[in-house]
This record gives sequence, C-alpha cells and structure tokens, in this order.
Amino acid sequence: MPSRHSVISSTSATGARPIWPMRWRRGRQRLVSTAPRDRPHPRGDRLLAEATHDRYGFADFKLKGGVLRGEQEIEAVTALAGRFPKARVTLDPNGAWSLEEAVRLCKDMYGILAMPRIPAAPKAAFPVARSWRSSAADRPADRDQHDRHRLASTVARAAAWRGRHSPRRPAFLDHAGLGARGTDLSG
Amino acid sequence: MGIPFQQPFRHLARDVHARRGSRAGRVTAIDTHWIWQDGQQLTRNPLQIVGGKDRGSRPPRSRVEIDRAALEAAHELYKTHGLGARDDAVAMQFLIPGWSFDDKHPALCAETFR
Repeated sequence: MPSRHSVISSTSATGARPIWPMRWRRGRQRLVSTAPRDRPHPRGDRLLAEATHDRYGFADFKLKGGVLRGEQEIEAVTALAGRFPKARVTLDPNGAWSLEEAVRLCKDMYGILAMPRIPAAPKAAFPVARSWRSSAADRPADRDQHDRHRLASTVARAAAWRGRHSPRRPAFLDHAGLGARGTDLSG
Repeated sequence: MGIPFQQPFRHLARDVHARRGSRAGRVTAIDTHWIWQDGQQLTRNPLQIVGGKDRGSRPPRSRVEIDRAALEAAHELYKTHGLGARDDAVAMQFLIPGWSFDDKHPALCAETFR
C-alpha cells in the first residue's frame, strides 16, 4: 500500500526509484523513510485506512497480506486496531502461511483481529475419498485455534439440524482456513 | 467492447445490488473489489458511499446509466495500451531479480528470496 512517507531507494543501474510501501530491505535496495520513526510498524496501512475512513466512513478494514513476514502483518493489523478501536479488522494473507504458523500468529489476537481470512493454504488438492474424521496428526495444531470455540455452538446446532448423517466437518471452519482437515465438533 | 476489468466477477456495484436484494438483516461488511479511482466510473449514477454505507444511490428499479463517452475513453485506453493481459511478475522482478509467484509463501518476505 503506497505511503507518501516511504520510498525504496534503488541503487540499480537504471536509477529508477519505485515507490514502495513497507519497511523492507534486501540486497542493494534500501528503504528510506522520510517520516519520523516513532513507531515500529508500517504506517502506510494506517494512512490508507485513515483516508478511506475520512472519505467514505469505512470502519471495517481488511489488510490484504501475504506480502511481508506474518509477524509484521500481525503487527500492522494490531496497529490498525489500535488506531480504530471500534473498527472490525481482518487480515487476509492469501493462504501464505502454514497451518502451524497461522495458529501461532493468531492465537493471541482475541479482541484485535476479527478473523484471519484464508490464513493457510490447503496442503494438497482437496481429498475426495478421505475420511471426515481428523487424523491424530491434525490434532496438536488444531487444539490451539480459537475459531472452533467461537463457532462451537453454531456447529452443534447445525449438526443437530442436519442429523447424524452430516459430515463431521463444518464448512465454516474450512472457510476460515483453520481446521480445514477436520475437527470433531459435532460428535 | 474491451473494458479493462481486472476482476470481472467480483465488483462492488454487483455485490451491493445482491446484498440489497437479499433478505438478510444485519450482515457483515461487503468484501469485494473496486477497480476504479475516484471519479473514474463508467456510469452516470455511481454508488455513493457515506458513513461506510451505500446511501441508496440506485433505488430499486432504477437503471444503471452508462456514460457512453467515459466508456469510449476507457475502450481507447484499453486498445492503446494492450491491456488484455498483464504480468505482475515483471514489476516484482524489478524489485527482486528472478522473482516468481509462490502461493505458499509471502511475496516479499526476505527469507524467501535469499
């Protein structure tokens, strides 16, 4: 997200200077921030959020992530939630994290992050002939995740409504990207 | 006629119409795409977002009034610059030589491209 405060100074042969949003450096490219560095987080997101809030009155922000390290993006949405305490803030890393990484990054985000959207990509193509029950290997990572606690009552009602023949794998958990390989909530 | 739609199937105007027609009451925020800059719309009655909401800028049974001149200008732009396809990797390779897309890792993560 472009920020008027930060550019990347490139020492490449072309001498061109692309505008680039976040604090990030690699090799010969060096990020130069003209803004006072009183905060450790990328402020481009905050400026954009403030601009859309002023112009359109938006109070619901989604950071389209999958760009920087997960910790940096968590830091960015935390800063955004701090700036707009009443806003709903979500983060969409486009499936760039592993399941373990997603659980680690998001488990302390209660009250800050409304939802991580597609945090982890499926490990393989959707298994057609696979048991709906989760395997033992899925459990350690699943145990920490909070979505199933939040959705547990919903899931229980849905399971009761749909009867015993429903697959024990709620679709919303799959949509959230967490627990996509099955968590036994209904049984 | 070629219009430089990047996301032809997900669009704010379409989602607003769909949401307005639904019987759901209080729903979550619309998460979709708006490809234009401010003032770049192709219609005479664009959505007007005030206070984070669409303020009935297109009441029921109203029509989308296409701005033919704006549409023609957009089409000219499309033809002039050959906007039928794009390759984002080119821009990324300007920043990181040899960059390629990997949907399992962050795009600009320094560890990924060491």
